[in-house]
Amino acid sequence: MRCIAQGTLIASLERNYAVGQESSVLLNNGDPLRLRTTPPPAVYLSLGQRFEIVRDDAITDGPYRVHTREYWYQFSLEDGRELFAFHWTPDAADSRQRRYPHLHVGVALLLPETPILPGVLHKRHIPTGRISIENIVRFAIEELGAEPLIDTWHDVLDQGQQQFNSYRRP
Amino acid sequence: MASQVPSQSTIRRAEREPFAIERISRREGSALLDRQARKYLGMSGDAFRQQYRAGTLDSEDSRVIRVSFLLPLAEN
Repeated sequence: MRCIAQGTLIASLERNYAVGQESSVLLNNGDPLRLRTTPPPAVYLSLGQRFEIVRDDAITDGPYRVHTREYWYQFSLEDGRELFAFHWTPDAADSRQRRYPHLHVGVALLLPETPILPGVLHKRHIPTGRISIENIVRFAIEELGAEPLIDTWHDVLDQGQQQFNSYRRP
Repeated sequence: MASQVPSQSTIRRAEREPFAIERISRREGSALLDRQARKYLGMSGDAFRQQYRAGTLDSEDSRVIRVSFLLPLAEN
């Protein structure tokens, strides 16, 4: 995150990250964080992850790793209208949710009368692969025009993505 | 309006300081849950917790998703 913004991720002080205990991290107290984008308008990022520590004897520097239970990454405008939202809830019990990683195209990007599914297209789930935070930061810089705050952002993201790929499980 | 281009001092500060991780107590988590549930959904943190656990909130609503990430910070 330090590649594109200054802020905080909040996490629990009292949770000891025992195996099987669910925890979460949330960007900026749950409020959208403004990115420095060129050209305007300003784009805001919201981000949350729910995770647990699991035992995994298959990894070489284990035996513990972080297992993602849910992620939500949202880009929006200052007025709150959504641009994109990447969401994954693999354990969702609610039948309205999709268990595969997906993308929502926000209302800010859609015509009032879309050629298909007018009025509800933003609620539809476009399948994606698993999206890492590194993917999101890279998308913000390379596609949305967010100004990188550090010169080494490319290396930082490559290293993080490498770790993500190494520890990811189906 | 703030500058759209990060200043050199901002860039130097970002290189020096990693992105901060703030660890908050359960009490602080509960207060934050209450504040954000009121701000985004117009309900108390307790009401949000009950309705979310009962499955009566729209779990696809981005406001609900946003606030739901605060639950593990406010619970045992």
